[in-house]
Amino acid sequence: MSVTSTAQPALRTAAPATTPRHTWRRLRETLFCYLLLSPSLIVILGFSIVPLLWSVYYSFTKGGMLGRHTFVGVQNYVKAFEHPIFLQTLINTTQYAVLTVPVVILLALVVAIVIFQLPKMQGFFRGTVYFPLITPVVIAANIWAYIVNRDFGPLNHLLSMVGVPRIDWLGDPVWAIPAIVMMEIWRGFGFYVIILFAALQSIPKELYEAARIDGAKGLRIIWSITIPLLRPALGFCFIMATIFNFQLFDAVYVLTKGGPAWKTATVSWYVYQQAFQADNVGFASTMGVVLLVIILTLSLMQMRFFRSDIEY
Amino acid sequence: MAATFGGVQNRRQTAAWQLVWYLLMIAISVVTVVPFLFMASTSFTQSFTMMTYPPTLIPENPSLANYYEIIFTFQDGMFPRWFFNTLFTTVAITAGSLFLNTLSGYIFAKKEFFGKNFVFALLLATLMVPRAVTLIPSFLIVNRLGLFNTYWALILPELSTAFGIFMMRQFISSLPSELIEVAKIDGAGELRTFWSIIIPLSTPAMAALGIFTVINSWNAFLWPLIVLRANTMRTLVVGLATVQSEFNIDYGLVMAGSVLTVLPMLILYILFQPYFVEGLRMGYGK
Amino acid sequence: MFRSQVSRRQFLQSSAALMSIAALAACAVPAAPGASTGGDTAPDAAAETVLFWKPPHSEKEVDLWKPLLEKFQTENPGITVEHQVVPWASVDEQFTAAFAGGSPPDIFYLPDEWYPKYVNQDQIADVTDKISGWKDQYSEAGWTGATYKGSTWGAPFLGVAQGWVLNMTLFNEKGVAAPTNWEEFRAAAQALTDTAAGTYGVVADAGPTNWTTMVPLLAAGGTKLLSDDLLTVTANTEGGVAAFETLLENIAWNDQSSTPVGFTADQIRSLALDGKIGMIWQETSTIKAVWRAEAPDLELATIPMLKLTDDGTNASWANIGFMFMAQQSADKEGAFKLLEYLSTDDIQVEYVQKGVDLLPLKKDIAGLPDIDPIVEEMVSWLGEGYGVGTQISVRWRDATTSLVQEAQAVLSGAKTAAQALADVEATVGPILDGE
Repeated sequence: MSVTSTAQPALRTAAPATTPRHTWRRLRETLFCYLLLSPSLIVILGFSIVPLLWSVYYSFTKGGMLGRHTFVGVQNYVKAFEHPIFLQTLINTTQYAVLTVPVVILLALVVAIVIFQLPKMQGFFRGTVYFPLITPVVIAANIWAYIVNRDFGPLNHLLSMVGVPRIDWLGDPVWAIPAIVMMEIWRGFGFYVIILFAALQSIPKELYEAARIDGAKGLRIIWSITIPLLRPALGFCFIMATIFNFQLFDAVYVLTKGGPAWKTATVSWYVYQQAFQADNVGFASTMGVVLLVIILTLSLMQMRFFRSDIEY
Repeated sequence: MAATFGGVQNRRQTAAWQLVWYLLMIAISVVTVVPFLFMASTSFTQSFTMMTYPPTLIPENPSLANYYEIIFTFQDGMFPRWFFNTLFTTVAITAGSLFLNTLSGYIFAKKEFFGKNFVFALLLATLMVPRAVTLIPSFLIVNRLGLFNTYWALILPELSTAFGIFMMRQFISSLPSELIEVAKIDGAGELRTFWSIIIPLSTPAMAALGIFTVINSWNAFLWPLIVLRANTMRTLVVGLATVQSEFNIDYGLVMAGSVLTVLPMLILYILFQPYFVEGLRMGYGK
Repeated sequence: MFRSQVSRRQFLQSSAALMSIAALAACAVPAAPGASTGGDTAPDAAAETVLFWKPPHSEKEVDLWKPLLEKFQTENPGITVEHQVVPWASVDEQFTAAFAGGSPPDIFYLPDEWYPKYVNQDQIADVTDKISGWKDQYSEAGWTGATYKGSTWGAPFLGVAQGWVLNMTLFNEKGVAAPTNWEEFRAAAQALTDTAAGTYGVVADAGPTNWTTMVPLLAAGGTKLLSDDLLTVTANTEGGVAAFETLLENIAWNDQSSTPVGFTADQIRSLALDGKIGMIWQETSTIKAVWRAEAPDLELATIPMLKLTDDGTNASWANIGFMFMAQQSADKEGAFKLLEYLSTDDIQVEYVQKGVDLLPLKKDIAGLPDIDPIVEEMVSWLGEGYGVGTQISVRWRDATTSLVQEAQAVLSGAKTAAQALADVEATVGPILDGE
């Protein structure tokens, strides 16, 4: 906020409004603002907040997509934590996120730094790394299914050239999640590259100059100046990546349908499957709410860790 | 590293390192782009078998037959209809949401009113709600509103998003308030201020958010899948998925459809990439 | 002050105008030619539209139905039939969406494992009164499948049988005879596998649909997946475990980490049609449409899933589908006329038999073309009581999904067969709560 020069007459008093006239004015202003906000608020209320509350309600009931729901209290929650498949989905989702989030951000960081210090063609490379994100997930997943095909896919072809035996990526319970991890990293890292690149651009060059004069070079500069200054951006990326990856659905839906042996079933996917296939909407809502709590907790923890960034 | 981070002394070393970085970036670019070239290559082959080994990039007898089939004859010409559906909904969503998000972003950024921080925090909180939780009730709401199988079912939920409002709000807060003050002094009303000052100044952010929205709408899969029922109402991505689950998958056809689906986004991206990056930078950073 | 108030009003007016224009535009377009929105406009009294949904049994689904439906429309002026092909992969979403949206298809086809869910949602019209008189025209298996919770819900339409298709050309080449019991089956599988020549003795699909292989396999081991009262999982017996363990033998025979888990369905299909697979579990629908059409020179034979344990039996898979009417159908009379038409002998011959080469479910139909001997044999097992089918239950799909997932785990060495079946019992048991 800049300071108004004393040459101009001040239009607004800096002192808190205490007179009835001011309060009335604030009130009118408030009403006006809410009026203008109303379309947005109605949409978000209608398609985010109300559904959320509705889901929470459903999580305490038993019933299907259509028709009556009967209230069952916390029974669903108790059942959920004894449910072998749901517990498996929690494990799967966590495994997947733990593998994906750090790697995708680290990769994005490295790539962003590399692109940043290229003298030419920065724009071109930013474009190519972002490319998979402009395609629908369905298409990217199909392409990936081909890449990891056991006998005809390029990935195994490359691996066989260094003597690694062929892996049945999508069919092997051990390798299915890594296959999806790879796909999501391949598909998603461009997004974080762009964000981190933007953050890199906002670091003043003088800092580097000063450091160089002091005799520091290359990696040391990156370690002690760049990365600390990127902390807010990294925090933003981590939080977004966590929120996004804990909700993995599309790849599972297109590629593996939860298999093999339930090893790629994520919470989101199982919620969907239970709601639309098994018509078990109450239980599906319960699982959804548990996922929400997990994501919320993780986000809050991360916000505290990366404190001082998401300010508003 | 030399130019930016320092650390290398002579020109020779600098050049050598730069070569390394360029090669690395080219390798990475290959990994991100080439798979889609496989897709394109498949679309030009007839009677596709993914069985060629080792994998080849150039098709043996390239032909446009798949394209002809998918555009004109597939399911009696559904494809152009899907294209229109996708185009219409994407344009409507983008125009509507840009307007509303910018307006709301402006209100949160520059105006003072009771409950502002609370409402904004609430909005941000909705970003953390997993889609799994809101999907079914949203579906039921759309149903109750009688919007099933209409364009509105796609457009309405996306007319304003917490992410969009957040992004525009971040950007607009960085605009100097004096401009608004000056306009007020000149006697401009709220609408005029918004229209003639805020919007023109916000173009970079709007361009970025716009592209983001366009891409998301164009590529949306799950929601259109469950709210659109008739084949004639489907969007490209959903329609393509049904091509795939036809009785026997004709990969050439599927890939031709995929190429046609990705192409508009690719063109858009190439044209507007600078804006996109700039806008993301501003939207996130300041 | 005055000025900003005017601006506010202007603003509201212009946004209202914008919104209404957008609304008009959005509502107008769905009424464009070709779109049948349903639910928005009341059906015209003069011309009623009956919406007919069917997942495909052939690539030429639309072409097959066109003349048949045109004939119906000629015979029933005033009724227009709109036919839509619903892809198998999106049946769940589409039907749920249609029912929830209040504009369901009037007549639709669903197989036996899919429909109980919709009965429980009150979406399928109870046609017991209307069609109970038809019972004698149908095979018993067909009619039983249409019964759930004491009522009849749909008209049996077509059936699918499955069995091992033997590539006798390969058998003869290697000098192996068609197996008649499990030991011979094993021996044949091993004898026919030749990695150098790229041939595989046996391939069973372990994809998401291979419960149609698993369930007969369990029967060969003497068990059913669920108990007759649908309250417990009965697969976890010695016989069941023995049956599951044969899956592992698949691996040994074929010298692959796993056959189907490594291959895609297309790859398997290619190999089979090239004559590289000795024994493969197939549906009757593929015999004419795929095997005879694309590999006419291969000599074929067929056997059921062979008895594995003392208390097991030979088994074949039988799957039946029905034509249903929606409870919410706006025009039940017109819809029922279509249902009647779809149940005529004519349709059984033209579509089911000639069109997609599946099993008509009506008995004593005149005009049936010659059945392929392979199909005839597969069907004959059903008559001999070998047919194992869906246990009509709303939890059947959950049970079979679990079965398949666990089978995949066994195939990739993650679990033993005993562990896998125990887990099926553990995951499915709790959700069985009777119908």
